[in-house]
Amino acid sequence: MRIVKSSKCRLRYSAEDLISAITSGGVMRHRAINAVIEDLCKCKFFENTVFKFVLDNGGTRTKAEEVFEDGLIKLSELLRKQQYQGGKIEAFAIQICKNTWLNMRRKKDEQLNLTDDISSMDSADQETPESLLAAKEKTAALQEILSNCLDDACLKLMQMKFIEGFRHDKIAEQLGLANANSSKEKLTRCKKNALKCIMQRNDYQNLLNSVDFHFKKTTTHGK
Amino acid sequence: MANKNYNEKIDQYLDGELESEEMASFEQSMNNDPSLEEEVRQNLLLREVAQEGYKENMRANIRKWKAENKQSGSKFNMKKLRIQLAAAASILIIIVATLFGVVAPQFSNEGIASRYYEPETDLGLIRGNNDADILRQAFENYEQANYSGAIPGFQRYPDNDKALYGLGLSYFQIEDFDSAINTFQDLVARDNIEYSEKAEFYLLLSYLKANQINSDFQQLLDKMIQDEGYYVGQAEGIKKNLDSFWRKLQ
Repeated sequence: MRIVKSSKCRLRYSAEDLISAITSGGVMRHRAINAVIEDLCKCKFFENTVFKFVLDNGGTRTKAEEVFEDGLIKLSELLRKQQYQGGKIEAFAIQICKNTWLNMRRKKDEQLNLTDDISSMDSADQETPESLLAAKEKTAALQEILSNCLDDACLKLMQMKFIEGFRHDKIAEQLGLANANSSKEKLTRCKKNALKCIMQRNDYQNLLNSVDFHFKKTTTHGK
Repeated sequence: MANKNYNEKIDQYLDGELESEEMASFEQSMNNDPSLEEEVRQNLLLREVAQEGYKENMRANIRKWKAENKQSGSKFNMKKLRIQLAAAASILIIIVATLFGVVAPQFSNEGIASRYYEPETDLGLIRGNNDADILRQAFENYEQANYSGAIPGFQRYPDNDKALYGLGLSYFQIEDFDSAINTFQDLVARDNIEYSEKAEFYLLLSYLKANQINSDFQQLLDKMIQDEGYYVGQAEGIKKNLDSFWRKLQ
C-alpha cells in the first residue's frame, strides 16, 4: 500500500482505495476504516482544526476532546454505511466534527431554553431534557450489559456479524471456528445467554421499548 | 428464544434481506404474535449493545493512537535537538566513531532491533466474566512491566490471540527470544487481522535479537516490504541498515 501525501495529513488510503476497500466489505473494509481513523488521530492538522473550531465557537478543551472522539466514531460509522462519496478524507472528517460540535451546542442551548419554556416543545424530534437524560441512562444501561452479560468472544462475534457485516464463514475463519455452522451456533448461544442476563434486569421492559424499531402494528378487527 | 429458523428469519428481517413479500408476511406474523415482536425487539437491543461495544473499543483505540502520536512527537523534537547539537561536531564524531567502533555496533543485529523496537505499553481493554480474571491479571502485570509475572496468565489462554500477542511481547521483554519467535510465528500463522502485521514486525525484531538472520528472516523481511503494510517503513529501514557500509566494517 502506498502512503498518500494529501495536502495536510499522511494517509495510507487514497479516496479511491478507501471507497474500493469499503465496497469490498469484510476484512478489507475493517482494515481500511481502522487505518483512516488511526491516521487522522496522528494528523496534527486535523486535530488543530477541530480544536480551533470548538474553542472559537464557545467550547472548552474538554469539549474539543469529546468532539474529536465522537466525530471520529461517527466517521467510522458513516464509512461503514458507505456514506463517503469521495473527496479529501480529512475535509470530510473535519465537517463531521464541526457538525458534532454544532449539534452538541444546539442540544445544550435547547436544554437551557426548554427548561424555561416547556410549552414550546411541540416537535416530535426535538430533544427534551428528559429525553437527553433517558439517552444517558440508556447508554449507561448498555455499558452495564456489556460488562455483565457479554464476554469478549461473544462481543467480538456479534460485532463481526451485526456491525462489520461479516459472513459466517469469514467469522469462523477469523475466530478459528470449524465452519460457518459453528459460528451460527455460537452466535445463537451468545444471544441466548446475553438475553437471559438482560431479562433479569429491572429495566428490561423499558430497554425493550426504547429500541429504535419502525415496525407499525395494524389492527386486525373482524378477522 | 424462538427456534433456529425464526432466529435466522429475524436476522434477515433486521438486515433488510427479506424480499418484499416475505417481509410483509413476517410483519403480519408480528402483528398476530406479540411474542415474535418481543423477540425482534430483543434482537435489536442486542445489536444496540454490540454497537455500544464497538463505540467503546473505537474510543479506546482513538485514545491509544493519540497517545502514541504524542509520544512520537516528543521523540521527534528530542531527535531534532540532538541533530542540531551534534551538527557542529559531526565530522569529528564520525571519525572517532569509526576509529573506536561506536557506530558499527549500532548496525549489529542487536543495535538495529533496538533502534526499531517500540514498546507496546497498552494492550487494550479486557472485559468479561470471572473466567477472564486470570487473563485480566496477566494484562495488568504486563502493563506494570511485570513480564515474568504476566507469562503464566497468558499461557493459560493459548486460543486467545490477544493473550498470545501479550505472551510474545512478554518473552521479548525478558529476552527469551527463541520463545518469542515461536509465539509470534504461531500468531502470524493464525492470520488475525488485528495482530498479524504486529506479530510479523515483532517476529522480525525477535529474529534480529536472536541473531537468526536466516532464510525465514529474509523471507519475512521481503514479504513485509512487498505487502507494503503498516510496518513497511520499518522493514525498509531494517533492510537498509543490514546492507549498510557500517556492517561491512564488523
